[in-house]
Amino acid sequence: MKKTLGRIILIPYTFVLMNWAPVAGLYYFVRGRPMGIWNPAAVKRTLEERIV
Amino acid sequence: MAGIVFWIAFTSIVYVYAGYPLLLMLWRRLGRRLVRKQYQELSVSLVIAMHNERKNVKAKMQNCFELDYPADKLQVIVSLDAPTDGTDILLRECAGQNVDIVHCPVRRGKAEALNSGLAIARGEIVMFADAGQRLERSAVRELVANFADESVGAVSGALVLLDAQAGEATDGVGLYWRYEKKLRAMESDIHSVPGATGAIYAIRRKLFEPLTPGTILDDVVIPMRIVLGGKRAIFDPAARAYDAVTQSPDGEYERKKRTLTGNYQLFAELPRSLVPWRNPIFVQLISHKAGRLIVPYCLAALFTSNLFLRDGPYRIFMFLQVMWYIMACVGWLVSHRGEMRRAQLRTVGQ
Repeated sequence: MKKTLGRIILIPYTFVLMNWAPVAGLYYFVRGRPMGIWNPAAVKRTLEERIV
Repeated sequence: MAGIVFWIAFTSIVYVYAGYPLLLMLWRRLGRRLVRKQYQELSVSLVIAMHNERKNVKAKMQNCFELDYPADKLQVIVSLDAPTDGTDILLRECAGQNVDIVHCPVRRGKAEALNSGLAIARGEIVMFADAGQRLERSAVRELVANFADESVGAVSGALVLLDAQAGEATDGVGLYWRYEKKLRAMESDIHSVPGATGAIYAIRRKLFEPLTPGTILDDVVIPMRIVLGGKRAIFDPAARAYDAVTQSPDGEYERKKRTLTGNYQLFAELPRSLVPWRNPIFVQLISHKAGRLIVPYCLAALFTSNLFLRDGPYRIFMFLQVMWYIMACVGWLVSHRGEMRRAQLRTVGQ
């Protein structure tokens, strides 16, 4: 019962989170931040940011 | 004005999640295009791109050797993209002479790794798989059978997400995947799916065009190019790959963020996919892929317009929305309870 309730409570959160993903995705796309799996450009940028 | 915005937003959201599946159900009844599946043994090149896959490489190779397909017809290619965790050493140990390895010492990304793998592919059919998922023994056979139909250019298999009891996951992310597979099955029956499953899909090698470096979603771009070229990209749930379900919504969020960024990239790279008379699955692409991109803005418009509409039924809508977002906040608290407790303990410890 407690487990089922926990799952139900997570549904709205999951829905909101999944709908935040396109907004974040657009931000990454517009900023030209590649998100490909092990994309070298993404790694380079992360390193640059760390150095800054 | 607020009323118009409210109803446009409301209709768009309902269409994306409920109207579109209903439309597909109707459409399928009117114009179902069956695939003439016939079991055959065409030569296949199975391409797997890997970066740091130390924990998966042995199991993946074992999985490849256990596939139910004649060894002389199956070329396994592993394209290594500058691994730094010893994946290459482990791979050479367990693969022996049975696997063709392309090793690039400079990291170039998955798209380029796939291009390198394809460059040495000999099979008439090229199958793509990921390192982390287990293929069912009959997966290659099931995928290849669909290519007996000349109109088929790409075939996507199904990813089955397993829960802790090794049954198909039925809640949260697992439920979402089941909904997604139902959509894909209907889209496939009508014409084509606007994207394959990265863990298991196959194409005719002659239809492959090298991927643009930095491509995020090879499993969407490759099938879409094939569809735009006049062939079908179908979904066959009989060809299966298995993976463990992501338990946390945050884990799924990261995956979703990447795939949705990839959708923007797809529209930028293939603008003709947005031209109705050039894309035979224009309605499916817009409803399935673009629809998901606009829903958050519709949700924001729905809430904002509702602030100006407080009479009659609008009051109920407002109440429901506020309740929904309060529940989302509670869900966030529940989901991050462990992290907050650890942070508190750290603070106390200091």
